[in-house]
Amino acid sequence: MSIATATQTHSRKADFVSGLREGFPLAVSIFAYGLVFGFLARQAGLTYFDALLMSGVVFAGSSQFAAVAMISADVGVGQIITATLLLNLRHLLMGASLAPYLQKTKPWKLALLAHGLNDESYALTISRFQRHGGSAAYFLAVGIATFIGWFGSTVVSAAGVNFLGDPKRLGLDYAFYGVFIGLLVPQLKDRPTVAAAATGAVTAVLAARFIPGNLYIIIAALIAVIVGMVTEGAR
Amino acid sequence: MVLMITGMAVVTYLTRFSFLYLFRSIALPDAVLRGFRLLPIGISAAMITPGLIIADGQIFIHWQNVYLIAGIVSVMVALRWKSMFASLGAGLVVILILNVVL
Repeated sequence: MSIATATQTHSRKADFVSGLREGFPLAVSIFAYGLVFGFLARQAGLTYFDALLMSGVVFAGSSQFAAVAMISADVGVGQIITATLLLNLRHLLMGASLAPYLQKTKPWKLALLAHGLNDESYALTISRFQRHGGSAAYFLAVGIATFIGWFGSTVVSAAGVNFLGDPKRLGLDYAFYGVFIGLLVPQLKDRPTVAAAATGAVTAVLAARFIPGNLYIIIAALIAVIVGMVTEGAR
Repeated sequence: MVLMITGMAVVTYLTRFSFLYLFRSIALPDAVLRGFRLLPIGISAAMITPGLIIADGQIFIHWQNVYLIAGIVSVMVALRWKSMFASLGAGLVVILILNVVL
């Protein structure tokens, strides 16, 4: 093994470890949030296996909650799948912004990494990539951490018992916000970034009440980018 | 049920993989790349604020909104120490305290 390879192996391992470490608080938050899912899924009539299967292969919180609510309301399969697609369209934006950092990653590895792309893993990964450059190992580790949090909570909660009661009681669902704020704030360094954050925040709050599902995230994010770029041009 | 779950999994996976794969090889114009720099900021801001400000479908800007207060504390801690863990920890402590007090 050449020295270069050895160094690279080491840094991959280090990237993987820091991905696990930084992904851990998110995994805890996702676990707490997911405890509600298994319980609701069983109440909607899913078997234990169905609930596990859904959390394993769909692995997308908001659309799983929506699906369970729609199953309870006897909505058709086609509509549920359409709703799932719409709720998850935001992954397109996330994928597009991560892609330039993963040009050297082999397609089959990328195919594996893709399953670990979610709101939480994206926020951590893009922040890391912008500071230190792309790393498939880091992205993989964060994806695994979030998957364990989500799948693990379904394993527990779909057994049919609501262990935690309301997770809000412990404030654990706040972890999502705390982590995102901790990642977002240090990125606000100049006028375009501040303008984009302010626009995204205000637009989302206004739009969230009128736009069904979470499509408001895509709309607010795109408006935020446009406003940010306008202030960049005006400088 | 398995069929429906498979359908959900396929469409979700396509949203994850398609652009992640396609946008590697497309040479993007400079403006789009600059837009990408701002995109995570827009997405994060859009994901954070409604959850902190809206309660039961209504805008709730009030000192009794525990999430909002915790969020403000997290922002201040993040501005000062630029640490994700500090920001998270401070917000969690605020939630725990307020849940006891209120």
